[in-house]
Amino acid sequence: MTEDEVAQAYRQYGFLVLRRCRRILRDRAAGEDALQEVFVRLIRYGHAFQKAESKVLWLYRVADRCCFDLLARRNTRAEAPLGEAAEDLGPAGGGAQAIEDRDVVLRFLAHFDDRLKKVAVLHYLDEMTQEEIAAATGWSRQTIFKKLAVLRQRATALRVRLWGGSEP
Amino acid sequence: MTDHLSWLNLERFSVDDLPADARETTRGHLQACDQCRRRLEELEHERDSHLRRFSPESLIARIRKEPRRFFLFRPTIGFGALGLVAAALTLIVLGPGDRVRLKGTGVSIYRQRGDEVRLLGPEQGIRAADALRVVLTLPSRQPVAAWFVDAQGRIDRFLSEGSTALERGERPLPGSAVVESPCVDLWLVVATGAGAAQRLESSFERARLDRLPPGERWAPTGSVVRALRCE
Repeated sequence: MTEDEVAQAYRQYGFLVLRRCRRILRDRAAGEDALQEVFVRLIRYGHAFQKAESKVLWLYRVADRCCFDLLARRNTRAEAPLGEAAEDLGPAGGGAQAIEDRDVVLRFLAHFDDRLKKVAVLHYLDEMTQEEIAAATGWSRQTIFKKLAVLRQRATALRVRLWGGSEP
Repeated sequence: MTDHLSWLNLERFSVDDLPADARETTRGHLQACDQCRRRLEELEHERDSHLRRFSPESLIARIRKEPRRFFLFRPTIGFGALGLVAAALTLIVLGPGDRVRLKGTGVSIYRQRGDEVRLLGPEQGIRAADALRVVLTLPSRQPVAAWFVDAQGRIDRFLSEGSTALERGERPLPGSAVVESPCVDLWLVVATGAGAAQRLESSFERARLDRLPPGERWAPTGSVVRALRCE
């Protein structure tokens, strides 16, 4: 891709990529680094981007990969207060428990393996249903169900460690 | 998940990335739902403030100025010429020690330094600004994943989609890599067959969790590894 084409893609989609990176990384500066990384990859793999049916989904796949790599490198632990993240994320369905699960899971995303990270992002950030996650990843609905169950269990255990109380 | 539109749906709608039917459904929902309309307005506001803060020109300038990765795509390198030279070198200078073979898969790495293109032997190293090109020899058509890991544990994938299917024979991987400055030792790990990218991903993840030092031990069983040491 030419620099003009990359600049055009950035004008159109850059804010979405930055938004996603910041939400995954929970760090403004790291989000900007990841944004840059995504567009470096766009320069490199522009042909695949141009062929992609959904430009947003293509960029999000690359953004997730860049963010997961960054998370693994710094092995993040609680980078941002929970309140700030909750504001960033806005309203979500499923009630208070789901919001708490989402906050804890995203706060400790670095501690999960890449598959769990992927499911966590699709479920808690993109708000996809199990069927949609199965379609997006190519994994079975049963696999998604199990991974979401694992994420909820981990969220509960982490909440207990953070704020005390007992696991149900 | 809810009766409202998902963030993903709204984000795609905001940049006209949805297929026509989904776009119409979304438009219909937005006419009737205050909460989703507010979310969409929030996104539009974000786009405006983002472009005010980070212009496309500043991004391009940052990318040009700060190559942070240990390799970068360099479209001006003359891949065609490098490919031709690489193919010629394969015919002329390939020695038994120059290529790693495992289960029929071969990996050759060509290094361009200045105007010189050379097939990298096991004793030869890399330096900052060297351009590297990877050529695989495959016994049959199969999926291939090729990742670099560096001495700091950073990972870079040669293929944006994780893996790609290559035909039998000698096949150069698309693109090339430029070694960052200062140079950092690299390992190229190549896996083939179904689930190649997933095997690399799981193996690297395990290695990180086990806190193994970056290197050959990060590679899954059956993969091909080439160490590239800085001179």
